[in-house]
Amino acid sequence: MSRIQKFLGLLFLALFAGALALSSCGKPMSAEDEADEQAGLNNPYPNFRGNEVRGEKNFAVLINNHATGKAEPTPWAGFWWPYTSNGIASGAYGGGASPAGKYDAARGGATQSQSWEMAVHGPKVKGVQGWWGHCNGWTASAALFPEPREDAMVNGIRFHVSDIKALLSEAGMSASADFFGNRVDWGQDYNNNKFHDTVPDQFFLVLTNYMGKLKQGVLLDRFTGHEVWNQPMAGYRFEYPKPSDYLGADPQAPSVYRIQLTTTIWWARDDVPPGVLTGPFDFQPVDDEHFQSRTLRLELWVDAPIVFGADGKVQSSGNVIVTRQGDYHVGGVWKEGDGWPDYLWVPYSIVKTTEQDQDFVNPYIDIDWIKKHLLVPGGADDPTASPRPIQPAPSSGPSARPSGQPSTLPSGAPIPTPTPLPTTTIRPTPTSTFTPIPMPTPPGPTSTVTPIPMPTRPPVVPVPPAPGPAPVPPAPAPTATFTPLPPITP
Amino acid sequence: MLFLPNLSAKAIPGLALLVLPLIVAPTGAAHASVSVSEREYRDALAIAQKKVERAQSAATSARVRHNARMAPGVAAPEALSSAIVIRLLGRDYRVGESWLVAATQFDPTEMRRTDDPHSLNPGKGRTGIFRYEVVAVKSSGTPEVTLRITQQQSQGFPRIDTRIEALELTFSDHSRQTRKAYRVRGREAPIPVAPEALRAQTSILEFFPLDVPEIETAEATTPRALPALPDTLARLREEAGAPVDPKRSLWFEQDDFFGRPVQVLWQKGDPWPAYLKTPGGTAILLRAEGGQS
Repeated sequence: MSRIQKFLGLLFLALFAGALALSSCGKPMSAEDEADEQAGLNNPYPNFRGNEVRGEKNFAVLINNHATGKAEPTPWAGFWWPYTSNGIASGAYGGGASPAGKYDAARGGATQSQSWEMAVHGPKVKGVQGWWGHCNGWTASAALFPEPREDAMVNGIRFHVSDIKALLSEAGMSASADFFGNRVDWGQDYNNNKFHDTVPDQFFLVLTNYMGKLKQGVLLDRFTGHEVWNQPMAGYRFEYPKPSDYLGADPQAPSVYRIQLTTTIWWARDDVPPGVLTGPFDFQPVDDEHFQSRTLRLELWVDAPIVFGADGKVQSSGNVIVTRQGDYHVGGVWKEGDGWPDYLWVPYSIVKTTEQDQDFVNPYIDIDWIKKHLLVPGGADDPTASPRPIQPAPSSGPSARPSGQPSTLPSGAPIPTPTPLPTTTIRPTPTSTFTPIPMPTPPGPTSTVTPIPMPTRPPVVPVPPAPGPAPVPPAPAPTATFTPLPPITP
Repeated sequence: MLFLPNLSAKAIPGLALLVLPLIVAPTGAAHASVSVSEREYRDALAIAQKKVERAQSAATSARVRHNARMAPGVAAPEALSSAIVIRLLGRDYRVGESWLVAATQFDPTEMRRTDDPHSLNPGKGRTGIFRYEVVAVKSSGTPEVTLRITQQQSQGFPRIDTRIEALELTFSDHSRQTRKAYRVRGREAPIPVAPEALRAQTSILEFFPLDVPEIETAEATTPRALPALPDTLARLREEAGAPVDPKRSLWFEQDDFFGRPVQVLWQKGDPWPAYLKTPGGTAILLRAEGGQS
C-alpha cells in the first residue's frame, strides 16, 4: 500500500469518525439516546437531544465570534439527476442499470421506483424544462447525511456510491426545513420584491447563527433568477470590517446604522460525476472540482451605533435589523451585480412521503430502508425481500446543453431544448469498495470550473410597496367559516 | 436618544470621539452601487427606522413597568397585568384554565427544482389538535406565565409526534417566550430547546405554530376582514361553531427573529389568538375549555 493510499485511508477513517461524532452534536450519546435512536428508526426526528442555543442578533457578537463558519460534516458534492435524462432511472452511470432499478431489484420487486421515476421525474413529464431535477433532494441529503464513500451490497445487488447518492437525493425530495426568502419564479418576479430577498441582514443572521453557531448545513439557491439551483453551502467567511466600512446613520433614518461588508460563500458542486468522492473543504482560495465560491458585497443595517476600538475591533453595536412591510422585506441592501442567493433553507429531516407529495416524491424510495441497508458499512441484506434481476434502465433522451450552469438570461421563457448530462466529464462509477479521494486541484482555475452565473440586473423596480399604514390581513374577503358573533359576555 | 447595548458606561466617554465622526460619516454615496434604486433605498430605510422605533418604545414601556413594580410601597400587581396580552384577555391568566387549538404545518416546497404548480403546491399539510393549559402564573419579580401543551387525538386527527408528552412554554411580561421544553414519554427530565429563532432537531412539532407570539413590538391595526384559512382549519372552525368578530379583534403584523412574517388576529376576551400564522403554518383557537372563572 502506498503512502498516499495509507494517508487517504486514514483520512477516510478520520472523516467517518468525525462524522459520527458530529452527528451527536458534540455531546456524548447516552444510553437513553441510543435507545431513542433505535426506537426512532422510523421517526423522522430520531434524536431527542435538545438545543438551548439561542439566536443572536447583535452584530458585534456575531462578527467577533462567527465571522467564519463551516458546516459539519462538510456537505458532499453530488449530481442533480435531471428529469430530461430520466432522473434516478438513468442507467448512464451504472452500465445500463439505474439506481432505481437496482433498488427495485434488491427489494424483490415490491417497489416500482424505476417506472414511477420515468413517469413523474422523466423526460415526458408535461412542461418539463431542462433545469428540472433532483438538486433539492441532493442538497438536503448532503447536509443531513455523511457522504456515502463505499459501495454497499444488498441481497446480491451492488450499489455503487453513485447509486446510494442518487437514492438519497430522491429521498431528500421530501424534507422538513426552515426556509428564508421568496423564490423567484418567472420574468415578472424580477420586478417585484421576491427578487431582492433574501435580504442581506437575513442572510447574515442565517449564516452566522445556523452555520456559525450551530455548524448546521445551510442550503441556497445560487441563482437569483427564475431557475432553481440548490447547492449545499460548505462555509462562509466575512471579511472583518474596517472603521472606513462604517457608514453611520442616514439623516432620514437616524436609528438605522449601516456598515459595508464583503463575504465569500462556498458550496459543494453539482456538475460532478454522480459517484464522486468529495475532497476536503478548507475555504479553498480557488474553486476546485468539488467546491465553488462566490464573493458578495452588502450593506448591513443595525439598530444602534457600531463602535470600533483602537485595535480596529468592533467593540459594540446594535442588533441586526430584519423587518418588512407587507411582503416587502427590509434589512440592508446588496451591492449591484453580485448574484445574491434567491433563498436559503436549513434542512432538518427527511420526512416520509405524505399524500401531498405523491406527485413529487418517489413514494417507493424509503429513507428508512436506505438507512438500514445502504448506509451501513458494506451494506446489509434485507431478509424480507427475495431479490430479482435488475430491470434494464430505460433509454435516455439526447443531451443538449451542458449541465451545471443555469441560464444567465433572466427571461421567463422555458428553455427550448431538453437537458443535458455532463457526458464529457463522466467517469466510470467506481467498482471497488474504496476509491481514493481525489487530490486537491492545484491552484489556479481549472478547465472544469465554469464562470459563476450572475443574474442580469433587471429593470429598476419603479415602486416597492411604499411605507404607509399597516396593511390589512391578506385575502381579506370574509369566508363562510367566519361569521360575526355577538359580543361574548365575560 | 442613541442606545448603546453592550457598552459599559466607563467606555462611553473614551469612545465618543471615535464614534462621533462615524455617526456623521458621509452618507450620500451609500446607495450609489447598491442593487436598488434611490427611492427603494429610502423607503427601505424608513421601514427599518419604524421597526427600531417600535422596539425602542416597547423597551421603554417595559422599563417603566419594571420600575413601577420594583418601587417600594407599591403592591405587586397581578402577573402580566399591564402586558398587551392581558389587555386583550381582559384579565390575568389563571392556573388551570385551558383552551383548544388546531394547527396545520406545511413543509416548504419553494426549493423544489421544478416550476410545475402542482408540484409546488404545499398541499394539506399536517394538522393536529392541541390543548393549552396554564400551569403556572408568577406575579413577583419578573412576571411569567407557563403553558403546558398536549397533543390530542381528536376529531379524526392523530397526535403528530407520539413520543412527545407535552411542550412547555414560559413567556414574560412582554409576550416574549423565555423558556421552551419538551417532555418526552419515559423520560423524567424535560428537554430544553431554544425559546425562539433556532429550531431544535427534536420533533417536527418545532415547525408547528404553537409558540407564544411576540406582539408587544408588532404593528397593531383593527382588521377590516378576516384572513382565509387552509381548508382543514376552515372546516374545523366551522365545526367548532366559534366564528370571530373582526370588530372585536386586533390584527398584529410581526416579524420573527429572521424577519419573516408572523400574523396574529386576537379577539378581545379570548385567551389565545383566533388566528396565528408563522413561517411553519397556521393555527386557530377552537374553543376555551374549563378552569376559567
